Amino acid sequence: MIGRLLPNRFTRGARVCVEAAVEEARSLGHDSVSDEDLLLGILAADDGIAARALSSLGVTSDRAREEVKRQFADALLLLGISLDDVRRQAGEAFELRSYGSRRLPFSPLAKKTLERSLSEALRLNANRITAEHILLGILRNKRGRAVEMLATLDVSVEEVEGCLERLCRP
Amino acid sequence: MEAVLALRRLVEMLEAACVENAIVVGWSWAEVAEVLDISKQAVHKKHAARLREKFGVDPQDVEGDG
Repeated sequence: MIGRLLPNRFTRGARVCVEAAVEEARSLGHDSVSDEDLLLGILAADDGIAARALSSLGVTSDRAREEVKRQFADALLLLGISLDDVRRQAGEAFELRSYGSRRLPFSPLAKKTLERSLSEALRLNANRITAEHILLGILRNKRGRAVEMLATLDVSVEEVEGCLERLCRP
Repeated sequence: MEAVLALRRLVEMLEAACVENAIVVGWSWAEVAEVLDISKQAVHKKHAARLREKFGVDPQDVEGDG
């Protein structure tokens, strides 16, 4: 799956971020890799401008992960389900994690994000797709979960774009 | 919508935990399958590899009786 989505146009750093996104998805109990997981992957694995731009706005891997978990618990609470109660009932075996030997598929929005990262790279006249281009791709999904998550952390799309631009042109 | 997605994820987590608990206290795969009303093959395929990884061996080999 990754092989098909990630031809040689992706830099090694970008690939590492996508692989990290798959692990983030698993560790949060997701059954597919979403655009939100791609953002978490960048936060966890990028050592370049993308993660630096996000962290300069206060968005860190830990904070973002906590936010995803909080949203999960809040959504269940809408149904009157307390995640803490479930955890107590199920005991120690309960983990916020998804299993299975199969590779997690990319969600439709995540696929679109990776396609958009290619457009972003072309727009910026880059030869290869980097983590920054993936981040720009993520920001294009105005109704995506990643943009929504940034909003709950009080960070706007424009702020991230502005930050990326500043870091790109020192 | 958000709640539907969360609920779907929760069901999977809960199933994983409950199957693990049952197997660890000695239930057979057949018993687990019967209670969940799915085939023994399906429940084994879905959970056995994970539990083997987690416990190092098939939990049935050490604690189970069937």
